[in-house]
Amino acid sequence: MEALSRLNSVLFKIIKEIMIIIGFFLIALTFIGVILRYAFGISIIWAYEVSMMLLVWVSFLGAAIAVQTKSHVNFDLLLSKIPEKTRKWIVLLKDIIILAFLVIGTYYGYKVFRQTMRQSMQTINLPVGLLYLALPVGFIPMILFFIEEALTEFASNAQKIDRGGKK
Amino acid sequence: MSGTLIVSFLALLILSVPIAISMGAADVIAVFVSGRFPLETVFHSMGTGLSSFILLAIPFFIIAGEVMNSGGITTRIFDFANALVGRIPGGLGHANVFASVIFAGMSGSAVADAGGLGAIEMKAMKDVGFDDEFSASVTAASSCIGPIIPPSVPMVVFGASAGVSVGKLFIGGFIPGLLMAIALSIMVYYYAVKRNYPRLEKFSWKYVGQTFKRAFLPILTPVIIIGGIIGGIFTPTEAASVAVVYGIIIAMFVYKDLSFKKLREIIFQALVTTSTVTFIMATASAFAWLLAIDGLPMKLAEFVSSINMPAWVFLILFNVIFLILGMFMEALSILIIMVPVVMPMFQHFGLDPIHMGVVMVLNLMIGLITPPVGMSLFVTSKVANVKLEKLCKAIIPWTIPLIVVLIIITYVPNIVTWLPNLVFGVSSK
Repeated sequence: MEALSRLNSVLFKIIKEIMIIIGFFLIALTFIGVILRYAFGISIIWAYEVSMMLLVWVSFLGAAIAVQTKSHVNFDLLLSKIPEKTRKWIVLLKDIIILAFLVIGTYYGYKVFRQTMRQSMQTINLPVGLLYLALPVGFIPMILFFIEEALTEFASNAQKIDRGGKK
Repeated sequence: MSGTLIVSFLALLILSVPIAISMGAADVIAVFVSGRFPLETVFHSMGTGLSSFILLAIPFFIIAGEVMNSGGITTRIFDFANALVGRIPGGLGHANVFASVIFAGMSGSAVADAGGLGAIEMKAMKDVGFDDEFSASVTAASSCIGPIIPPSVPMVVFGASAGVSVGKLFIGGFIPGLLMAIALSIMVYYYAVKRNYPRLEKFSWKYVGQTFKRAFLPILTPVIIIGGIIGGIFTPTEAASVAVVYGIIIAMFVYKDLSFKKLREIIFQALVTTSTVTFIMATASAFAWLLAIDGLPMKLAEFVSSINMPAWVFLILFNVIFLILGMFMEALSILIIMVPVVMPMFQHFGLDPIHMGVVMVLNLMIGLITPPVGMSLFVTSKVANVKLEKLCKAIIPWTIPLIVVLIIITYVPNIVTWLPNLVFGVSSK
């Protein structure tokens, strides 16, 4: 558990740095694109495809971070109304489903990445696979962050029950 | 296949699985059960679902709003607003609404308004003797103007999902946003007279001039964004990038309010927020694709047309349903899920998607200030240090002026469509 949270905090920092670099790059690319078009009539033809690829990276890396920062949107009005004893089992079921999806996503994301590596983008000589690489690369830290969160939640629930269900 | 898809999605949603993963897992289950496609197709379409340049405007407008949301800049805007409208009975209440209008022109989200600017507005109001609940209610209610007046993150999401022009949606929100401000100001006036709230001693052009000079650079931001889009100089995404760079320059180098470290944090947070939206869009695109294979949106539209409902009844139902959805769920998720469902219906009733886009977003923004799930309400109650239960009660009368505006723009579509049609011509693309 401790090893996992240490690994996760390192992962978090690395992903954060990557995202900040992508952020600055996207702002600069779009802004310079505007300037070049108006001042010199030049357009960066690959800007569109590369920006879209980076947006996919932002989406999947960010979705991993959002697990850690609890930023994902869910609908928990009903779950919070269920008595604690039953809720424990529902939470377990929920966690298993999420993990299963993420594992399937990693596997098939990787497969799509392999399949599209031979395809080239239209405006720049980069493989389309780079776009799909974001799926497995995002899903793996998502799995790790998620396991940590689920274990923490489970531990705190167990503690609550030890103390006779008092909050 | 649609049956499995929808049932598993709803089941997962009730289990409180995050919306994005509920959709993704439902996609996997439906494809697996039907056995008609290999599972790769689901994940393949998650990548292609995001290929829309306009989506890049989401992080940019969030960054622009946050960069401008530092204490120094918002105070300048608020002081200028107060100089201009502070003499009207209700004083700072009107300044609160008017400052939100200006801030709406640089920020795309209601929650940013309720947080940063809201803190300054509420402190100023408290200092001169307004009660906390009133200040918090005005702040929360006026934050709804943010995503109606351009730029607007929800309208980017609507435009991307519906395939209509975001520039047109933006300009379409301009007049409705001003109407909301007027409606809220009438409400402030009403309470101010009833409760004898303080106001500025006197109106002075000199003070207006002084504060305008101090607020000039930030106020230029909405001019650049809205002017640039109306003038056809920028696409919304480009306007957003220009606003970010302009904002960084004035906040960092002119006012020295923003450190590089803070900027990095802002960009990081904005990208994470964006990802929670685009991740849903990615899994939703596979979802929409599977529904479309079964022709479900068309079947639904056919069903609606078979019961022979007049358009005005549809509009009532539409507003009631989206107001209720907005009370219980997060606004952007609703847009992503529901836009593909309602678009064929708009077509059936001959409704302009630009008009309906603005109506839909306004519905959901009212949902931001209504319990049980109201993001602006949560943020405001935290910043104002008012108990959530108290604010939930205090906010109720403030939804009335907003709902009046909603009814007006629902039944007088020209209020929305007149300006964009004037600027861009009539087609909706």
